[in-house]
Amino acid sequence: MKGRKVKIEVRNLSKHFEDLIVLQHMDFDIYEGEFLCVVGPTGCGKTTFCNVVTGLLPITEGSITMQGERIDFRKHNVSFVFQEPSCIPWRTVWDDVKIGLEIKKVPKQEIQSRVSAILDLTGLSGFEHFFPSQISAGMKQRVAIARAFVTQPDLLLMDEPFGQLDTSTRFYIENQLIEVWKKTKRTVIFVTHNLEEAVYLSQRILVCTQKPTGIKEEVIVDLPYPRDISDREFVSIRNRVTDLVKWW
Amino acid sequence: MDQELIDAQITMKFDDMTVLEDLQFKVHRNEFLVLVGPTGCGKTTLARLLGGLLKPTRGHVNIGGEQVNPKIHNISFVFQEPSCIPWRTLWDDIYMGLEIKGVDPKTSEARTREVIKLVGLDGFEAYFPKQISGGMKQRVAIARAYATKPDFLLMDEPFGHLDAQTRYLMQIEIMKIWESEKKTVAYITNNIEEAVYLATRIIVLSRLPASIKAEHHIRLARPRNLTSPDFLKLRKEIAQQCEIVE
Repeated sequence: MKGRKVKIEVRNLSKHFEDLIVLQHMDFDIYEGEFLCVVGPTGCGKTTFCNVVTGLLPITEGSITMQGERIDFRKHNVSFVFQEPSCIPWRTVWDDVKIGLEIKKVPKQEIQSRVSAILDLTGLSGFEHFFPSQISAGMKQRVAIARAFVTQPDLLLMDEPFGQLDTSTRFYIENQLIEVWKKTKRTVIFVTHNLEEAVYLSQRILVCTQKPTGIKEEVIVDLPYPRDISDREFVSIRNRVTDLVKWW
Repeated sequence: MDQELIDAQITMKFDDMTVLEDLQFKVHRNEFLVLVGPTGCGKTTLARLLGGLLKPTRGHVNIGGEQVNPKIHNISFVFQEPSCIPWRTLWDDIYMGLEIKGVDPKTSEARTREVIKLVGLDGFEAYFPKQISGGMKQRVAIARAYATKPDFLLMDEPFGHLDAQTRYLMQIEIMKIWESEKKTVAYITNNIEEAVYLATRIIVLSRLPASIKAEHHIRLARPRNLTSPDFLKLRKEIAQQCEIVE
C-alpha cells in the first residue's frame, strides 16, 4: 500500500457502551479508492465498528478523520449498504436509485445520465419501472448498491450486504460489485463474516480480535480480478485469514 | 452402501406447472444424502414429498416398502426458519417429541439429557428461546429432531439463516452427531461447499421442471478440508452443474 494516498485516518479509536468495551485502541488508515474488508469472529463488534467509523455512533476515545477533517456523515458523502432489504416499497427501481441525488439537489439532466449509467452497470436496465415487490432479493440488493454508488460517495460502507442471499445470487452480485468498483474507484469498507468473500473481493483485509475488538493483523490480497477460489495463492490467503479468525 | 430405506419415483405438478419431472432415486440406510440445485428448482417441494407432507402427482415415496406417512413413520424435520416454541424452555422443547410419542418419562429424560449433551447445550436447559442465539436455536431444532431416534431425518437449508462462521461450526457439529448416531439424512442446500463438506452422496437437480442432472459419491476423508485441491475441484464441478459461477 506504499505510495497510496490516505483517505481516512483512524487513531486510537475506542468505543464503550457503559462498562462494556467494544472497540479498543484501533489504529489504521484507509486509502483512496481502496476496497478494504473487515473480518473477525462472530459478535466481535463489526457493526459497531461500521457505525463508529461513519459517525452514526459517537466515539468514546480517539479520532477518525477524512482528509484531515473529523468524519461526519452529514458533511461528507458517505453511503451505506446494509444486510437488511432497504428498498422503498412505493418507489420504482429508478426512483429509488435517484433518491440520494434528489436530496443532494443534483440537476435533473445529470440525475438522468448518472442513474441510467449505474443501472446499466448493475444489470438493472429494463427494470426501471419495477417496484420492490416485483423483483428478487438479489435485485433488491443491486438496487441498494446502485443507490449507494450513484452519489459518487467519498466512502461506501457495506455491512454484510450479501449475508441473506443464496449462494448463486451472492457470487453473481459479488462479481457485479467488483465491476462497479473497478469502474468508479470509490473507497469501500466491506464488513463480512464470510472469509472466502473477503479474500474474493478485497485488496486488504483487517482481521479483528474478539471483544474488546482491536486489529489483530492486516492481510494484503494482491491478486488480479476476477479471482479464482481454487487458485493456490487464493487458498493460501484464505487459510491464513481463517487461522487468524477461527473460534469454531 | 447399506440397504435401501427410501424409494422415490416422483412427478409433481402444481396446476399446469411441472415442478419435478420423473425423479427416481433411493436413499440408503445411514447415508447422508445432499440434494442441491439452482435457486427455485423445487428442492423444498422435494423435501416435503420425501417427508410425506405432500403427495406426488404421479409416482410414490416409499419408506421400508410402505408409502411414507409422517403419522406412522418416525421422521424428523429441521427447517430453515427458527422453530423453537417461545414459551417452552430448551429442555421442554427437546423433550416434546418424546412426550407426544408417549415414551415413558424415565427414558424420555435420559434421552433428552443425551441429545442436549450431543449438541453441546448442557447448562442451558432452563433457557427460553429469546435468551439464546440463532445458532443455539438451530441446535435445539437438531436435538429435538434426533431425540426421537428417527428412521429418517430431513433437513431443509437448516443453516441458511446463520452467519458464515456459525454455519461452519454447525456443519462440524452436525457431522460429529451423524457420525455418532448414524441416522439416514436427506439434506437440502444451495451451498455447494456445505454439500461437499457433509455428504456421502450428492444429487444435483436441474432447473424447473427439475430432474436428476448428476450424482456424486463423495469419498473424501473426514473431517474434510474445505480448501484441499480435491475438495475445491469437486465443489467447482458441482457448482457448474448447478449453473453457479463461483
